[in-house]
Amino acid sequence: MLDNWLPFLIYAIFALIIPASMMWFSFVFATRAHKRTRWRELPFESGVSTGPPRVQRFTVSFYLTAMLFIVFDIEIVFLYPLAVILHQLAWFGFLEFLFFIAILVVAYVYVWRKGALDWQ
Amino acid sequence: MREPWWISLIKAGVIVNLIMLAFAYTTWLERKLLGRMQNRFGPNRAGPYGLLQPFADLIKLVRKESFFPVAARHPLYIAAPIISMFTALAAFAVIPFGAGWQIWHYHVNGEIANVSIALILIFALGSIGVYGAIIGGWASQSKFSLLGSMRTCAQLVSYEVSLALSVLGVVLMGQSLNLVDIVNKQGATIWFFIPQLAGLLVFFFAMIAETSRPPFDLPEADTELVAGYHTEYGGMRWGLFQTAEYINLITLSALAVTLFFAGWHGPYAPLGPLWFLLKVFIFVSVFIWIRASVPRLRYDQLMRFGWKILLPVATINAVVTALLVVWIS
Amino acid sequence: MIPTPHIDWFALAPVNSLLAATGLALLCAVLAPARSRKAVTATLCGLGYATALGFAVALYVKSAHGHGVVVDAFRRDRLAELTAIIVAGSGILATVVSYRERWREDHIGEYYALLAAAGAGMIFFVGANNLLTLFLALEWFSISLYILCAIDRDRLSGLEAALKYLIIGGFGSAVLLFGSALVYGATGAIDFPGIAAAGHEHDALLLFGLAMIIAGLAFKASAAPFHMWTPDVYEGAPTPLTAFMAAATKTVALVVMLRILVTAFPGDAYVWTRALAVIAVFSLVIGNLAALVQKGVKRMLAYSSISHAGFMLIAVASSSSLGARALLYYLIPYAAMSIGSFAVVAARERELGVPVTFANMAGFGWERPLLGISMWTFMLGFAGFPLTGGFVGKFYVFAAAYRHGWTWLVIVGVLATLVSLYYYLGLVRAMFMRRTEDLQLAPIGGSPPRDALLQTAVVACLVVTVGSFFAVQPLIDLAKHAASSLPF
Repeated sequence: MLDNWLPFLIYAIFALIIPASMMWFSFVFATRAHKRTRWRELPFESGVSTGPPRVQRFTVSFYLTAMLFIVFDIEIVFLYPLAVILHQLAWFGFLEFLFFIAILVVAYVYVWRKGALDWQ
Repeated sequence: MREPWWISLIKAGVIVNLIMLAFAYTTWLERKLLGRMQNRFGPNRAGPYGLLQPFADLIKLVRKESFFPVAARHPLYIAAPIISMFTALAAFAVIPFGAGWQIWHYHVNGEIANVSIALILIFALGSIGVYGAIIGGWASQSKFSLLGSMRTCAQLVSYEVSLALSVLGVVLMGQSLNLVDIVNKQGATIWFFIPQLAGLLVFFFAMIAETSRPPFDLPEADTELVAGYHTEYGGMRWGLFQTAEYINLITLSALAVTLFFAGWHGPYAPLGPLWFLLKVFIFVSVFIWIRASVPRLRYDQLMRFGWKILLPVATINAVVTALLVVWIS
Repeated sequence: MIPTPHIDWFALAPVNSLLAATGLALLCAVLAPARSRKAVTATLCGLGYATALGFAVALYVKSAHGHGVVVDAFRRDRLAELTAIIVAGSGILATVVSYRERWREDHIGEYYALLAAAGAGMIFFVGANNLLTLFLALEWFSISLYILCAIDRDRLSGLEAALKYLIIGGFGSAVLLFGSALVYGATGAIDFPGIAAAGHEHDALLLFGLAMIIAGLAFKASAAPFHMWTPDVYEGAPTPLTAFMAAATKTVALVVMLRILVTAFPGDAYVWTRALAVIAVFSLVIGNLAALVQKGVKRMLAYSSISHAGFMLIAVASSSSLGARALLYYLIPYAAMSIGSFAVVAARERELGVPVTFANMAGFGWERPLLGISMWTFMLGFAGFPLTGGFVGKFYVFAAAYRHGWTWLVIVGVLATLVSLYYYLGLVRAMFMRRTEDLQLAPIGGSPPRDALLQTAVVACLVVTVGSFFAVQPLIDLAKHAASSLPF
């Protein structure tokens, strides 16, 4: 197995060195500020700032989107091996495929009508 | 076929540098094309036709001041752009751009790594790339960055579902997850964009959203949240995020070419890599064209499009393809 | 071509019909017009359960010899089908009892859909033939029940009950899964016959795994010392749902415990029979003693269900064919009595609008004689009086324990029954023998609301409870055929 993945590993090392070196250059070659004033270090908030973000309530739509993503992504993960082998499984495989997608379609219709797919 | 490790080493080095060069000239191409479409010249000062512009940009960015927001968490703040760019670059390792050649008595593969789960590897790396955006936004510890990164993440994650589903039809027809096998199958039978037109369209739109290109680039729009998750990054660090975005674009275009347009196959002359390059170039130009032409989508329109339109179309495409595959075989 | 397994659709028919009912009910919950949502989804749920009941009966008749289906992941035998009949019957009664419940209407469609889903999971649970299918089915119906407890968002007690159930139930499932992993590690097999055949009886790893599996299943059967969730959840959940949980969950948990212990761990019978006897004693003692001091009726019934789990575990601990017959026979009137008693409590709760206590049951027997007499019968049945199926059931269970040689267990059981008389008859006294000053009239004035559906359900439970005393032999035959599918 290492046969196939060794070239990927070599390439990945290159892919890691390049961004790391660019990051390093940004420290080494950067211009020093003539005066290190405090204002240069603060986060940019169009001038008005109330400090680092406190823990606050955020829109529940983010949470819903993430959960729906998980459900549908797991569906896809299960469908990929089935797709690779489907032509050997003939109608049995297609029936299982249909059953699986039918359950997910019911869930999808339910979620759609409940309004979880609308962003607010 | 197995090639000796030092050939892989040389190939990896060459390809990585070619990708960086391609990225550099994609920025040049974008600015030139956008300029021409907006009835003006693009950059034409730095070198003939502005061809040295990317290098000028590089020098400028590197020399910018290296500021650190006082509340930022240092290890994560530094790691975020590196993660983004690493995953964008690494995905290119499995894309086949040629048929393999015989040089002296060594065999050179047409891709860097021939792994059996290449397609899943690319999607997995794409999912990890989302981390770069989240960590970048959160590590900057500023309200704009945090909000921008959460919106970017929600957008990327929503379109990843459609992206992966649209490719299911190709996997059904190619009967393998290995990109080399898929390209060979297209060479043997038919280029997959013809039977999988719906899949191609869904993939195309999902691709634009995955790379946060206009018209799906609301999280980075200047008028909205300043610059989203890379508000607090200056100079080369911002450059890293931009590089990651463009290389993502190139990689996904290369993936689209591989999956739907038969990679390195071409009519008449067997010029593998050149055909590949030409097709990727056409794809990237189409993206730039779209950028120049279409106004930005509002965020809720964006999410609605991803969940309510692309997902059903991709699912129906998969079901119909499965039916036809089982019927015909 | 890859050879595909043969699917016995008939064996899966009860589960599939309930699954179809779930899907359709879920779609109707969002697509049907709001006015008819309750009627449509409740009908779908009821029809699903009725179809499942029909299929289970047909399967019982046709499966004289049990065998594995779907690559031995699922077992089609009379034990599974008899339990499926009990679950389906409980489901129909629960649907009927919940129809007139007064609660928030915006999730009512989902309530019936999840009720059907829980039933499907339970039927799948008793048919499971390997550890993975067992866990899958356990999570299937458990998660449906967690959501059902919380479905009425206005009831704070329901939300609290659901959270407690979720956390403790999750813990119980985790323990079960870990035990399964250890058993797999010790034997290399996950299917029950395979585990028995691997023969590593006295392996410490296997014994640990066995202990954890018993613990996980005892969580679900609410046997002490794993009973902590039962009083709070039974009290907080909506009463029709408590009726369903008290009957069906306990039934399936005990039957599966019987099946897995007898099929997969026959060589360790020395260990698990004693363990179960100890758990039974704990349940009897804790359940009865705690029920003595309860003022809320639902809580009292919850503790009484813990003590009944103890009784039924005595039957399982006897590890004999007589014990299996005793358990299966006892479950039939027990399910009916549980649903009936909780249904009567639901009726009183709907009248008063406050949680039901012994004090505000005063006079209920005279106001609504049908429900009063039914409740009286159920209490006598729980206590084991003759003329109810509870008597024959307890007799049978004690006979099984005695035959196994555990006279001490019989003595503990009889003492527990004596103690339980106090609170069972206490409820009867509250309903019928209160002074005039204590009578609680319904606040609406006039006659209390008549609920034909609930009364029908209660009458059905009454018929089963009393009928199982008079029709002992047919029921025992049913139990015998069901128990014969276990390898004794």
